[in-house]
Amino acid sequence: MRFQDAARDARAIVYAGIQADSLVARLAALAADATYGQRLMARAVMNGQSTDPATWRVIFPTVFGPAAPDLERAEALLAASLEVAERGEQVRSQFRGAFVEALSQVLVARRTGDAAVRRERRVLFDGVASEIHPYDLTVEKAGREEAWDCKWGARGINADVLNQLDDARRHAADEERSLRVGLIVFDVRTSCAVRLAADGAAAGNRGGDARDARRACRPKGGASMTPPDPASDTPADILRIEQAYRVRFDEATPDGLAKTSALLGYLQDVAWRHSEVLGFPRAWYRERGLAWVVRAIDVTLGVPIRDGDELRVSTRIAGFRRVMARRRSELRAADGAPIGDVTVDWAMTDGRAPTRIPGDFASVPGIDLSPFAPTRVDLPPAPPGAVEQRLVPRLRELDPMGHANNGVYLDWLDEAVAAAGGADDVRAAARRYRMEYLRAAGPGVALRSIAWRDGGGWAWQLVDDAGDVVRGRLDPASSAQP
Amino acid sequence: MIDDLPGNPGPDPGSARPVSVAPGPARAGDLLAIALAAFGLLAELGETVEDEWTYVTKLVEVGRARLRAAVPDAGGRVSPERAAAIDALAAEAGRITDPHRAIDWLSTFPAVAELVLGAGGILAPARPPAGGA
Repeated sequence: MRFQDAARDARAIVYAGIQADSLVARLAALAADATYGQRLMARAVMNGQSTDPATWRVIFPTVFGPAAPDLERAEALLAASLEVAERGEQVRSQFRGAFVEALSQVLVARRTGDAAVRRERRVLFDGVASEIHPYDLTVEKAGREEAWDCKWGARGINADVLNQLDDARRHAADEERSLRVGLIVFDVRTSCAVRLAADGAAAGNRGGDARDARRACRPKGGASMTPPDPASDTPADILRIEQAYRVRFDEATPDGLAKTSALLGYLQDVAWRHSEVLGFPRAWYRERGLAWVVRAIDVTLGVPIRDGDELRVSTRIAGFRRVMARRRSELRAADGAPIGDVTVDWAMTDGRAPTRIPGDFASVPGIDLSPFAPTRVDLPPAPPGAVEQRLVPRLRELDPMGHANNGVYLDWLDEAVAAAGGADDVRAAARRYRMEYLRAAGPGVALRSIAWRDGGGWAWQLVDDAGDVVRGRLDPASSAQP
Repeated sequence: MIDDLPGNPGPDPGSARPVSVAPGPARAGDLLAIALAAFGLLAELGETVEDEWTYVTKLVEVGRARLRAAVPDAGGRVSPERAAAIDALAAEAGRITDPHRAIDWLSTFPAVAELVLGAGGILAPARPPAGGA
């Protein structure tokens, strides 16, 4: 388990500006030592319509009356809360969120010391982030690590939030580490209780009810599950298989070249076939609620691939980590001439978070259990001249998991680079793609596809309101032959 | 009629606009009726967010109970300052037009009313002179 700064995407940069606003720190400092009535007043004002302080003094006679304690703080808190209320709706919402985080930081730091408390950090287990978003607050003190999410209101509590926190705790436990997790909500206690109950995630079981309900559709684990069952037509060498594919008409672009996404389709298919050969058919995954998702790809192509070409696509497992496996594939022409090679890093998921790969895989005789360094794509910030396209995944781009299939992102990268002036580079015979899939894009989500020239190649990022979804690069391959 | 408060606060809170109390000490029951009416308006607004219907419904149920519990004696008297507070609180709630903000207010509103009416906010009701011994 380790902590890491969250990626500084455009949203994070804007939000960081709000977090750094002196108003947020002033509010937090005032609220940290405020009475219950003063905090309630601040919450009402920040969520209210009226911006006349006199109105609020009337509404809160026990906070502003002659016998009220610490009147000076109450007035200062009112003034600061009104400054938030006077912002536009969206900015107000961001300020409120930043305020709760800052207040939490002040209060937690009193217990742990300032140096240990960090903001906007991811927790990584075996190199994989435990959840999509960074945690609002972490305590990074050896042996006493904590991760907190902060919410303005009880409405921010939901089963996913609770499960993600609980998963982080469980992942830490898997590594024999202790991670204290929790939610800090700036709302009325009874509303939080109602929210937890309404969500089926009763306080005290950390969302277990909701999780159990979600998992109820799955058969229980144990001896009744389908054991690994190698396919009946198992080839002699089960550690490496090869299949033939012919580039279909609809898999080619207007210039007759195979879409790069089509190649990824073949790679997915041959990986599935190999899984079956090894004894892990779809039913095996379905019964356990498990699935593989592509975490990263590294594709090097050396020669053009055209509509109607026949390819031979191989796959073998080339390494294991706790929640990840790597496959290597070779693409060859029908006559055996090399066309390209591909590395795909897969992560095992239980549908919500990365999960440990069952030991059944490691028990396959001869399988390559070598550790590997996952493919990462680190990009500089998009420059002002970056070309941006807006897109929304269409139904035909979704796979059975309800996400845009990993090959689709490659098409989006090609389109973005071409739009940014790199059409020739997209069509180049010798080219290399690297993609890191951070999150899945589901139906209806509004995405921005941003490409820009970077060094001798192209950088590309796909972002939504929450940050990076996919990061990618397209570079010239170092030689014509992979 | 609201004389039998707190068991029956009178008209359906969701169907009435909050009504201001007259200046001066007020009956706690009258203020409860105003608070419940304003709370009902927030509930109507919040319930339009279909995804949150279950949460809103439960929040409203708990909120109404909390408001009623804040007024154990409908006949109690409330100071002009606290009566004005409930009046202003109801007016503020009436200004909310965004359903999502209304949901947030469903959480805050009963706690604010409780703060106003609790902890000595309601005085003992005026009692008739005791009979002679």
